[in-house]
Amino acid sequence: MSATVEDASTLAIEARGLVKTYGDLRAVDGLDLLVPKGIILALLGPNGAGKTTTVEILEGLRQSTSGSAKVLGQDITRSYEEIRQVVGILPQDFEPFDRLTPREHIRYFAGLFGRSLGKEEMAQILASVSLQDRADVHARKLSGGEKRKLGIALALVGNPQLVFLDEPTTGLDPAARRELWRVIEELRREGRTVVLTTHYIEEAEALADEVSIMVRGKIVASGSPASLLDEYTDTKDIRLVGVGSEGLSTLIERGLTATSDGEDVVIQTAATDDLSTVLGHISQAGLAFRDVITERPSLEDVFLTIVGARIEEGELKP
Amino acid sequence: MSRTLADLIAYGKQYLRSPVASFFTLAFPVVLLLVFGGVFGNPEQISLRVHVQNLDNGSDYSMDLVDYVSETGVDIVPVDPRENLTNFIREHSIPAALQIPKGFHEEVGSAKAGNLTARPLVTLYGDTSSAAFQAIEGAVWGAVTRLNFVLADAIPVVSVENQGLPDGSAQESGSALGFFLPGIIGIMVLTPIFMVSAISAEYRTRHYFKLMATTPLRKWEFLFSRTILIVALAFVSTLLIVLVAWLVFGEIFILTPIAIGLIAAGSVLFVAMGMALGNLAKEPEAASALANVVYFPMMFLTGTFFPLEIMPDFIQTTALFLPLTYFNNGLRDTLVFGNVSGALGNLAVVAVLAVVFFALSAWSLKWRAE
Ligand SMILES: Nc1ncnc2c1ncn2[C@@H]1O[C@H](COP(=O)(O)OP(=O)(O)OP(=O)(O)O)[C@@H](O)[C@H]1O
Ligand SMILES: [Mg+2]
Repeated sequence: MSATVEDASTLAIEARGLVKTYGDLRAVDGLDLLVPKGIILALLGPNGAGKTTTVEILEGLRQSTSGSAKVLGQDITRSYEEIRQVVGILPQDFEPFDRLTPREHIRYFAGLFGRSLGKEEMAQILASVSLQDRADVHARKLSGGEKRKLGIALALVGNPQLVFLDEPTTGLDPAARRELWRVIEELRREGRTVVLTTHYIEEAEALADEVSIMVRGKIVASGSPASLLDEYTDTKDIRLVGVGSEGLSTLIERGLTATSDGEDVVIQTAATDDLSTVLGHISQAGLAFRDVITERPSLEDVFLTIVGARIEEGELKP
Repeated sequence: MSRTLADLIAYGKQYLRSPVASFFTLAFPVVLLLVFGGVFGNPEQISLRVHVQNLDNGSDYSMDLVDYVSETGVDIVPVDPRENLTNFIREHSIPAALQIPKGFHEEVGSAKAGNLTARPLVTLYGDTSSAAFQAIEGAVWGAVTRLNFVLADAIPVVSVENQGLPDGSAQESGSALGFFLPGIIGIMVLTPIFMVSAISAEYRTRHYFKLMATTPLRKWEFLFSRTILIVALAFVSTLLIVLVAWLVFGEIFILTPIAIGLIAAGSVLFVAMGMALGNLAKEPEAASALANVVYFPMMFLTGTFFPLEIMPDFIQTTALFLPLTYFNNGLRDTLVFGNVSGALGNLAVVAVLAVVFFALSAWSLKWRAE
């Protein structure tokens, strides 16, 4: 299959100046995106940020208003048909066909990719998304999560080099989500490139080598989760559990920045602060508490910082 | 090719698993055949009934006239002389009734004897515009003419012999079923328009076109597989119709090559029309409404159930704009009349329309997202 696209480039995706307008709305607004081969990229962004529009342009399914994009070294509009062979796609609005079973769906899509699956391969694909027990049920009887899993199986059935998963785990229960993360990590291990969109920050954090945060049609921050944390967070929190509100004033008197959160008090420290100094202050205050928790900032904080900042700048307003 | 085949198999499974689609595509034409065959299959059983009120008390000439009417092949239903005939007609909703007046026999005798003022008259009451009235009028005139010949002691010279269709037509029997069979096949190729338009609308609203576009399947392969399935089912359905006609009604129909060409081209035409309707309609409901708007006029105004010749002028003109007319005419040309050139002309029209609508369905299909 891979022979159909000759690709010397080290980039799976190379998009420059992508713009997509709907009337006055700039759904994608001058977007550049370079994705090295073999990584998992997560596109993170609030509803309506333009994630789906962006990936569908990269998939060749939507026409961009301007800009250019190459996928696996090929121009997406000129080499549309070759690209179909090597790209697997789970659309956000995927729905299976009511009157076909998962097994029939998989056989159908394999046929469309010019493959015929042996018994074992079929069993293995079904097992990879844990649909083996539901393989022969008409798809209209599947649950929402089961449908989603089937969609992922269909995205992988063509043995693609590049996989686009638009909200792969939306609607899945936590166990199923973790199972799917395994499937996606397996794809990276096999050397495939994965682009996924998600609202789940822990998903991006757990899976992605690179995260691009998208707001209002633009990528406003990107990098590995660790580098984003470094760049956008400069505080660590120390939570004193059960210290009560009287503890708060004591701590503030000692020059610490603290806020109360129910029965707890949260002390904010700058990233540059020496933690032993802070801990010294706490022990000298002689307070009673049940537990001390240091809270690392998460990608969520990065996300909220960036998106929050954008709202303040008025950029999220229509 | 393998992609088209994969799509054909998956689509075929889905189509046949839909009870509505498989009923209307495969069983409905057979049901129509059974209904028509049951109603019209035995032409001897339906004959015209003529109500006769004889007010001349069973006189010789009045009885002769009634006999002659009966011998034209109609059934006589006597009406009591005490009835008011116009009321009787209204109450019983009968198309026409013949009244022989009192003194008819005497009046005939007097005229025969050379009395120039004698005017023996019978009266035919009824709705003069109805087709049945006109048929009865024909029978009565035939009887009257015969009575006149007898009275003049003359021998009729010219007469008419009825004869079935000559060799060269596929159906030598010229039976009523033979007339309806092309109409039933017409409905069979037309009916998938409902399913196909609904499926196209569903494909758009549920984003199936885009899903198909994520795979290497090409748009024309898709259109081809979707069309081929319905054409294949049309031939299966034709086979069922021919089989049932033979097993149930003992009539053997042999499809001519032109008939086979018409069924293929007609199927493509109406599948393509259905896909185009589904693609162009804004919502699925609109697609099914449009399919109705297309279906019912074609079902009734193209000579499927009633010969176009008995339709008013404006309907005959309308029929010229309905594609199914050419299909029905072509099929009748080749199956009933053995008219090869007429059938080929109609086949050409259907084939050209099939190409036009196929192009329209391809053009209206938005394969990728907006
Ligand atoms: N076909 C269309 N016609 C008009 N506007 C559209 C169309 N598709 C998308 N949009 C608009 O473009 C913007 C971006 O939409 P998009 O679906 O790409 O967002 P998203 O980031 O995927 O959001 P979500 O997280 O909700 O899936 C939205 O404001 C949306 O309303
Ligand atoms: Mg989206």
